[in-house]
Amino acid sequence: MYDIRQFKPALYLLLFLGISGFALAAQWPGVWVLAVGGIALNAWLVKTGRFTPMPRFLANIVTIIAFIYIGDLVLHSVTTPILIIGQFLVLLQLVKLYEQRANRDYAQLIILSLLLMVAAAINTASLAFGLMFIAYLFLSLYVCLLFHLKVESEDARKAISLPEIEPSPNMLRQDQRHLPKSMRRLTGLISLVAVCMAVVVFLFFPRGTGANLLGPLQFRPSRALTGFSEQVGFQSVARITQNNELVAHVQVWHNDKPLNGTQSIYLRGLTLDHYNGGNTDGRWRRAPYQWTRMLPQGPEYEVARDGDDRILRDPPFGTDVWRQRITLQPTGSSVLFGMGGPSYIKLFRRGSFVFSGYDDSIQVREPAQVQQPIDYELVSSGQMRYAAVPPELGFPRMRYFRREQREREEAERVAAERAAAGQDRNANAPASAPAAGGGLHPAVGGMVGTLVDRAIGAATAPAAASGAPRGGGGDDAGQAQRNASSDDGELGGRRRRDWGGGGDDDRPRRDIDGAPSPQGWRRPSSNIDPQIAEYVRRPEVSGTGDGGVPLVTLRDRFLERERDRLLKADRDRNVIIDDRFDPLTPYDEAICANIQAHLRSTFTYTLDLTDAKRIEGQDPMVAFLHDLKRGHCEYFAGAMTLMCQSLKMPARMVIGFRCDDFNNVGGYYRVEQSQAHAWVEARGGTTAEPLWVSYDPTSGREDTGVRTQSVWNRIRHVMDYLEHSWAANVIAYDRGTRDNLVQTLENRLTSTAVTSTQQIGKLPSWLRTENWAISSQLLSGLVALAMLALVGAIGWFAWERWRLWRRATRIGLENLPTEERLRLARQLGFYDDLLTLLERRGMARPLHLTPMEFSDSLAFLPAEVYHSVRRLTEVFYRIRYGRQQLSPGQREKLDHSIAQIESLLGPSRTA
Amino acid sequence: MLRNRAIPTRNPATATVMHRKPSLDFSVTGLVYCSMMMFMGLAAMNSQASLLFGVFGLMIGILLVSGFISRVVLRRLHLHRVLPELAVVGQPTTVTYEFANDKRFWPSLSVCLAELDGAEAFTRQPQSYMLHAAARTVATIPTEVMPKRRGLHEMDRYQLSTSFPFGFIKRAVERRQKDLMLIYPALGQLDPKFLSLCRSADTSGATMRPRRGGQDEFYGVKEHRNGENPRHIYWRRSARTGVLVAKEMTQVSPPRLLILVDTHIAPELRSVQTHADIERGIAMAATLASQALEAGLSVGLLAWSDDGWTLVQPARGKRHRRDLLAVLARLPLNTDKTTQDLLDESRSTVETGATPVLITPREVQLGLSDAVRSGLVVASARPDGSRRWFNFAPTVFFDRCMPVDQEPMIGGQGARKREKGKAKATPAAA
Repeated sequence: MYDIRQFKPALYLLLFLGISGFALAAQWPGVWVLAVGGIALNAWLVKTGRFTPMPRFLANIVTIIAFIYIGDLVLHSVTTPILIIGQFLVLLQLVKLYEQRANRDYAQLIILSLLLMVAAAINTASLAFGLMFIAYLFLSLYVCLLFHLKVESEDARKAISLPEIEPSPNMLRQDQRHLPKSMRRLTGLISLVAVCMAVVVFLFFPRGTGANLLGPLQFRPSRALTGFSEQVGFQSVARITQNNELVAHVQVWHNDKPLNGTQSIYLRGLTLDHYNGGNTDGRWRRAPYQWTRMLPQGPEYEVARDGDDRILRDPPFGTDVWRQRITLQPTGSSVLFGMGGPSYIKLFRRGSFVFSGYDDSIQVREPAQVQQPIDYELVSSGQMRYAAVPPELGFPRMRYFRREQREREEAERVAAERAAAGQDRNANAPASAPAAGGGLHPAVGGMVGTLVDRAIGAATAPAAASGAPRGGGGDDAGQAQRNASSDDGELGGRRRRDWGGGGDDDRPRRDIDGAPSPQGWRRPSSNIDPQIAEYVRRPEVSGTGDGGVPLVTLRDRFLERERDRLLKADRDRNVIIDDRFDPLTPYDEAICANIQAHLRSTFTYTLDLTDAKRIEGQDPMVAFLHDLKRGHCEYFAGAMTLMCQSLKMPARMVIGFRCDDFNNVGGYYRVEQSQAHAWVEARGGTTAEPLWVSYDPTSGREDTGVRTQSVWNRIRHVMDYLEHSWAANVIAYDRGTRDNLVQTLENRLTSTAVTSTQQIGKLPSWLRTENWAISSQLLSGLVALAMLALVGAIGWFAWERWRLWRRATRIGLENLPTEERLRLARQLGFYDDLLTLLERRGMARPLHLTPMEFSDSLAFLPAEVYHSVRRLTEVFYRIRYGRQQLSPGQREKLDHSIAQIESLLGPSRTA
Repeated sequence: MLRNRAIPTRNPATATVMHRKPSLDFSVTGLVYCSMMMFMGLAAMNSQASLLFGVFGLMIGILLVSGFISRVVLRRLHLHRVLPELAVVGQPTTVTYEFANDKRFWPSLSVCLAELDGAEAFTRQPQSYMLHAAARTVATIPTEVMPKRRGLHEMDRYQLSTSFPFGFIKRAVERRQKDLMLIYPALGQLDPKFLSLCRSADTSGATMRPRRGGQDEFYGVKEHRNGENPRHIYWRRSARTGVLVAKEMTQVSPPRLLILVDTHIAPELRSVQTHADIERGIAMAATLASQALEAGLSVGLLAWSDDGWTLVQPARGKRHRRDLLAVLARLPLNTDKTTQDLLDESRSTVETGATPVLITPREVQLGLSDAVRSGLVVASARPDGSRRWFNFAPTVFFDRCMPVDQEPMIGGQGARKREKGKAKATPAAA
């Protein structure tokens, strides 16, 4: 009677679920196989009675060894510590499972399993895990209930001297029959209340407060981005592996029409413009053959509230509008991805970010933003304006001592131009500077753009257009220019904050790694191997022009002519020409297109780059071009970038994602790590409006539109949509969403209250007006109806009471107290029906016969009827003398039995 | 947490330990759970992980629903005791508890029962545990108890407690259900020689000349009188004599015993030992009555009770046995009527032909004329005397067999002082 047989199977199932959930979260199938095998073996041993508990000392030794091993893993492994601790918990569970002796061990097993699931919950946002977790919680409630019953009954057995009496089979049957039903009811109640409470806490518990109070639980980001990296190096050639881990979900609207996945989109992350080559001097801690970003960081924007938006720059007039809604999973990187030419951003998580106008990159600053999923909306134009980068790393005024004089001259010139043009562009003067080729030759506009003073102006453009960057002057162009100037002098975002908004202080400047930087350091150019410069000059690479003359040669001739003319025209202006890049020529885009075509057609795309011997001691880019002839996207993009830069054409490698996996169910692109990509941006456009033009030289990655919609793909999309919904609505539920929800509720309640008050306030006036007559009639009708209903209710009550009274008299209950009489009359209605039924057929019960004697006297009836009457009489006795009560279901059954008797007996005499 | 509370008895050493739980209490498990809940909340706030917030809310909900369910479990749960027909001191007996769950939908699980009243009658407080009673069903749970004291015991208040569903919160309620339980004195083994001794001393039955009355055997004839049963007319003799004569029948009577139970104790001599002797005497009387009835003897009883002398005429049968034992079970403390009073009272009964058996807690020297005249059998309840004929189970402790209200005051400090004062006041008795 006191044996809770359901406990052990439920416990094993709970352990199985816990370990499965953890293995799913950590993606360790090996752990799952071992642990589940251990559990299954233990269950089999216990079931067959062959189980012998492990000696205590052996369990202790195993635990200590496991503890030391796990400690070593925590200190030296790259895996998240909480997952390693979870591994330890799995091991502890197995040890406990094979050591189980008493209830204490079961309790420890349950707690260990719960902790394991908590560890897993911290580490994953998977829908499958979420569903498993919910099932686990319900099962754990059931197991806890059973466990409590087990413990209590065993304690009672010890504490209370129970007799050595075997319980009757009826009692055992009752327990076996009703216990599962009772447990299900209670589990349901507990689950309902607990889930409601969980939902309330989930929705309304204050978020954000106390975050990272005890430090981050995950010391490293949960998802290391193996596909995307902020730096590109070629030292570890076998690093690139296919990784299908989810990165983001992207919804895109083109001119307010949602994209239906007919085209691929490129999500830009960062641009890398400097290649270290074989330089091993270790400056700025760069490794050889590494691509790095050598651009100013840009101003910092603060998002004080979740859902606040910021204008990054004025969108160009007449261009397309690409609106993107992106849910970015934790990538371990601070980069926000988006299409080129962003002008507006709306962040759904408070924090701060840095926007660089040079490469349109956006990077968040808060650690919490990096470690948790982040939602943001971006509006882009798809066009990236070319903004020349100042060639100096240091503060410009220290090097250019004649800046004030030049500024004065420039201001006079601008004023003269305005007077001539009759228009005032004062507010946006710095922003229009790169395009203000002025009276110079159109082809030299780009060159002028590379001049230092123009570069300052260009750098000011994003800051001036951004509205209110931190420390910036906002509308004040001069202040913005000063801010931009200080931006030019510092490349690290944090250092910008340290230095404040002014650029006139004498505090030391620091380079991008925080080391003191010599003022006026020149921005280094990429270290390009001469073989690359020689390679690009081949006609089959860069193409030929009219008459078979290589385009490179034509370009050189054009530049020579323009340089002479420019120096002659600006001899007295003390300008400094940036010798890193040449001005824009009409041949640039053609050369870039030819290089792209050459790489696409001649080289092979592969991820298998383990053939390290062939490129050892050699520049990987050179090896790629001359020997390997194969590689992945970074090789293609790097080679093309270097080829362009060797021709002194501004070019940079862009790293991001190329999205072509469109989910038709959810209407969004699914971005995976395997879609990480690198491509090239080179200067193009016109001299009046130079732009960054994108080139994708990687072979085999041409735009093929959407992927084929197979059945498997559709299923995958449905699952992905569910997972996305789970992640967006449950996992990513944060302070902003909560505040919005609370605000919405408050608004609705307030509006409801106001509306109700208004409606109530209107009621008297409505009654006073001409509606009074109608309303009085209506009221009279309602009152009459109410009166009728009341009379009807009283009449029905009286009739019902009279009917019960009569029934009680017929059955023979008239001597009982009133309350008991009425109760029994309600319960014994079936017996009254039976008597009436028999009476109509001439079988009235004589008063001297008890009900049982009366039923015995009906032996002449058909056997089926007789037995039914006997059974009904027995039920009558149980209710009348045994205080049993009928449930509605039982009443239905009894009515059904009486109907059967009636059908068997046939029509009555009276009928 | 269990809290022990002893019912104030006269002798704490013999008191039954009582377990009574507070109406609402937190268990250690509950405190651990609350700590874990706080830890979970802290982890959720620290990590801002949404699932952990959900788990935190779930744990709060479980705690709340735990308090609610523990209340629901005890609501509309009624108890009915099925007491044993025969409960004897020192012999384990079974009390059956019927837990009636009158709730329409919700079951009751894991409910502990503890008797609060009448527990002094048993060596341990009667407790029971009900695992499960489904909605609108009755769960029957037998519990073994060991009666400790003879007498009529009232079982009224009882406590139902539960820590269901998770053991965080312990809730208890007290209810009342009045039942009376009569515990008979201890029954031991009687030496058959003692019964033979009683038979040989009997002045009635087979060894006596037959007396008129009864329907068993022919006794004689007598003249028929009007109004007598005509069936008894001896027609042959009447025809021969010409006078209506009727047959007289006689009855073959078994030996008749009248047990005289001496319960007298002088107030100044009250002590545990003297009370134990009296209790042993009562147990001897019960044993003798029980065994003699089983052997077919008619047994009567004479003893002093609250209503004066109680005389049960010698008779046979199970019902008579129960009556005798019930009288013995309820014998009060007798400080008035001495042994001589008992013998004087018994004389009228002995004249009817029954053999008196005096059971007394002390050594009594009777005069020879008394013994010869009445055939009195005397059995002393002193340990050395009783061991000759009576053997009781080791689970019977006569120093704690008496009803609680008869127990001598020796427990508390005040009681000891009173005892000492009485001893000084009666130096002769001391």
